[in-house]
Order: sequence, then structure tokens, then C-alpha cells
Amino acid sequence: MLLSELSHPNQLHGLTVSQLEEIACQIRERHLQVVSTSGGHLGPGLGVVELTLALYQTLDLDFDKVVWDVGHQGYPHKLITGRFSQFDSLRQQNGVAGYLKRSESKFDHFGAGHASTSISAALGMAIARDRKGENYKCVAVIGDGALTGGMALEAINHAGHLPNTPLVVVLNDNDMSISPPVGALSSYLNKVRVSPPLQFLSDSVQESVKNIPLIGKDIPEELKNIKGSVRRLSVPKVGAVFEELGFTYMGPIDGHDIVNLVKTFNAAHKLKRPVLVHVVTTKGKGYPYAEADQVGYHAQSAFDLTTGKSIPSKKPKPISYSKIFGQTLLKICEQDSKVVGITAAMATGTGLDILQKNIPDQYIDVGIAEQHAVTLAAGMSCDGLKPVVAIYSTFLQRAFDQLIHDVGIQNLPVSFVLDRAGIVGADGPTHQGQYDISYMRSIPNFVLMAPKDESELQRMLITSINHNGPTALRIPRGSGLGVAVMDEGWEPLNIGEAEILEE
Amino acid sequence: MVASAIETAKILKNMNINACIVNARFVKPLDKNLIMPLVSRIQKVVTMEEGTLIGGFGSAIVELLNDNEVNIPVYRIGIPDVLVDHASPDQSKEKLELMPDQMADKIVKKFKLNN
Repeated sequence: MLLSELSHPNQLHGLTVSQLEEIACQIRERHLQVVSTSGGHLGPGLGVVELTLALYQTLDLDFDKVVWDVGHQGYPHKLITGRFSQFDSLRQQNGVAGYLKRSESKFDHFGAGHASTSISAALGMAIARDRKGENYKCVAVIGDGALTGGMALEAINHAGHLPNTPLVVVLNDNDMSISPPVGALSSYLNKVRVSPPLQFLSDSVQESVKNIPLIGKDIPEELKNIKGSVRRLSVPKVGAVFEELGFTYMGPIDGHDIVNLVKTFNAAHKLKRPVLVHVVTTKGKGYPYAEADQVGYHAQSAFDLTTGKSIPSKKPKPISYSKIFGQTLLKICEQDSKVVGITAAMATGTGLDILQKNIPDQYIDVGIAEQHAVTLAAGMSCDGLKPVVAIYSTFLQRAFDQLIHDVGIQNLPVSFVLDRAGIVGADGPTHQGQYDISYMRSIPNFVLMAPKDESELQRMLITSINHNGPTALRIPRGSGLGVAVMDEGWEPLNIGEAEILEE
Repeated sequence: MVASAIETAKILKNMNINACIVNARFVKPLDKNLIMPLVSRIQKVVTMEEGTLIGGFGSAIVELLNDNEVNIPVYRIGIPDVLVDHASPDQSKEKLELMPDQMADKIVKKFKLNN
């Protein structure tokens, strides 16, 4: 079968493993060909080709619903849900969107762009389904990076408390956010990942328990309750955190092994309760350059397929606002050890990577956890540090109450740098930095500013850090104007002072 | 948006329309002492922002004038209450009529400056 002939994912049903592997190959080819031409997310999609094909083998996509977290790993999904021929218009005006959109396809069950929302949405669908008395399957596919977002944990907390609500959460564990993931949860997943997998010798947990010597067959009813704990004892630690939270844990399984994936997904659906399937994938799978440099190939501008190198733009562009910000902050940090740069899993995008590299002691990556980043900074500022929180305009929306409740109301000296403010381009509506002026203006005590060029950005940054109260500095995406910048001696502005450029 | 404002003013200048350009720098607090006398003298105000118009920078200026009993027309340029779909940034700006030539055109029409 040819990928180009596929218009409905159910057409995959009944294909042999080698036919599915052939489709996987074609998905990677098309994926690489389009992204290398038009730019877009590369590593995430390449990592979930087999996961997507195997999951869809076990679902009836006319009824069952899959929610893809973020949606940037949804290109294989798009290619098998009728968007193969338009795919070269990816992320271009009037073309195929870079994320999932309910308005684009009936198979896009929930739109996204920001991380950590999928389990909540899928659980909502599952609750609606049960209320209607129907029995379609609801599945959330979430990356390990997105699992660091508090909302994902809020949803797990809720779902684990609903043992009679069937929900399958597929943890796509590639050991990466855009940058390597941070935190205790990530360390935990690392430990689990290298553990021997829980064996699914047959189709259900009930069955697999039977295979444990002395415990399995003919268990009296009254002993059934202890079966779960015995099962856990037999595979110490693996997935115990999720099991304690009310989920049945399955895995870890090789995310590129279609046979095992299909078997495990089928077992998960049969349980009719909250299940977490832990799938270990390789970001960028099948394209050696992307496997080797997972940060660099998370998302790419156009590149040469044979060398993996970016195609340089025709005319040299001035250095970006983000880079100028990062370089200036590094200089300020060198002079003042109280200044600390904070990012929410976006070291490279925000320009903080240079600080991470040079003064790791004055740099914090909290993971995809914007709310935590804001309140963490508030706490740091109470005890004499000078935090500079660099979060894209679109992502800072996620921490609105923290801006009001923890920073604004207490009038704490925290500096926010809102990158990608304004029109952002190919990422579309979920990523436009168009709301920050409105939402920041309303918060008490905040000073809100925007520079006319990169030199003024430097002056505003030092103004922010010197100011004894909360500030927000919005900077645009992409290149500056190319004006001269200074290595030191930036003159602070008077708060609230405008300038006349032309009379 | 300051660079676009300068471009827009150049286009207007070619049409013999003079524009005073203010780099507001601060959306909050606004420079009332600088803005109010200019507004009273020139009597026509255009605000420009790459952000949503509802509650944005232009709104802040309208509020400032209103709160000071100054009843002078303010033409707010920015992103209306619509979704901005994926496209190149320039394509989006063109669709939203935020390119300098489009803004110059809109300003001329709004204040009937072409006679």
C-alpha cells in the first residue's frame, strides 16, 4: 500500500507488520522531504511514526478519539489522515498547520500548541462519553517533557481517582523536552526506562498475573485484592509512582517495535480503566543527524537532506533580539551574582543558553512549568536575588494568576522578558504573542515596556533589573534592526519616560 | 512597531503629511506629561502596536485621554479580535493591514488627509 493512497487511518487495519513498516518508511520520507524544504518540527514526529501506526491499528478512528499533546509530533498523524497531498504546504499561509486543529480535520480531536493539556482534554472526553453511555476509546499521547507541566499532573491526579473511567495515556518518552528535560520526574523516568519491561505474556493484566509462579491460577476471590501489590512486588519500582496514583502502568516498551506496541495498546484498551502505557522512543528516529542532535533538530528551518545543514538565508540578517538579550544578561550576571536567569524549558529559544553555558550557577531551567517559574522567581526576589524570567509572550499567559497573586500584589522585584511578542508567523494562533499588552496592563504595580531596537532593549533590561518592583519587557521574534549594541555601561531609562523621535 | 511607524511617517511625508512620532517605550506607566500637550496641539492621534487591540496600548491612550476629559479622535492600529493563522510574519501583517504602506493609507482615509 502507498501512503499517498491513504485517506482514512482505518485503511491501515489488517496490514501486516512488514506492510506497516513500509508505510512507516514512506511517512519518514515525506516528513523529511517537506520539513527540509519548508521548515518545521522534525525530531518529535520522526520519533512517533511506529507509535502512531500501532496505536491506530488498535482504534476505530471513526469513533475513538486521540488527543496529541502540543501537536508538534502530529505530522505522521496528519500524513495518514488525508493530508498527504497538501503536506508540502506545511506551516505556510493557507496550508497545513504545524499543530493539530479541530477545524482542519475530523481526526484532529483537540487543538493544541502549548504543552501538557492532553490528559485533561482526553479525560473530559471520556467523562462525556460515559455520561452519554457510549463506549468509544479516549487516548492522550503526551511526551515526557510535557509531563513536567503541572496541568498534566493535575489531570493524572483526577483520572487516577476515577477507576471506572476508561482512559489510556500513552507516555511518549524520548528523554527530551526541546532541551534535555529537568527534574525529579525525569530522573524517575530514566530509572524506569532502563528497568526490565513488565512482561505482557497475554492480553490482560489479569492474565499476566496468572503467569507469576504460585500466585496466578485459581486465586480465591478474597485474595484478588492483593494481586495488584504482588504484581508490583514482582517488578519492583517499575511504574510504581503511576500505579500509586491509580493508573495501571504498562511498559516500558520499545516505541519502534510495532508488534509489541500493538499488543500492549490492545491490552491497555481491554482494562477499561485509567492506564498509562510507557513507550520509549528516539527523537528524530530514522534520520541520523536528528538522532545525534536532538535539540538542534527539534524544529528546523529549511535544510539540506544529505548534509543535515541549514540552508543559509540569502542575505545576512542582524543578530536576533533573543541573542542580544542573552548576551546582555550574561554580562549583567557576570557583574552581579544576585541576578539569575530563569527559563521554562526554552534555553535556546529565549537566548539563555549562553548564560547556562557560562554561568550555570545563575541559571535555572524549571521544565515546561511556567506557573512554577513565576512563583519561584517571586520567592527568590523575597530573599535578595534578582530573578529575570525569560518566557515567550504566548507561554507566560499560562501563569497569569502567578503574575497577579505572587508578583504584582506583593510588588516584588521580578523582571520578565517576554520573547516572541507580536506576530510570530508559522506557528499560528496558539503561539501569537498578541495578548501580553492586554494581560500585563491590568496587573497592579507592573511596569510594562517595549524597546524600539536592540540597543534600547539593553537599556530596558538594566532598567528592569535596577527597578524595585515587577517589570515586563516585551521583545519581538527574530532579527533586530542591526543597530550598534554596547558591551557594558548601558544607561538606565527613567521609568515611564517616552521620547519624541520626529516632531 | 517603532520601525514600522518611522516607515509609515516617511510615506506620509511624501504625501506632504507631517507626523510626529513618539516612541512610547512604556505602556505602563504612560508618559502623560509628554503625550498630553502633543495631543492637544496636533489633535489627531494614531496608536500602533503589534498586539491585540482589546485592552492594548491604544486602549491605554484612549483611557488616558478620556480620563483627562480630552475628546480627540484616536485611531488605533493593531490586531483586531481575530485569530492570526499560520503564515510568514509579513504575510500576516499584510493580511492585518499592518505594513507601513497599508497603515499610511488607512491613516490618510481615517483622517481624510487626501484633499
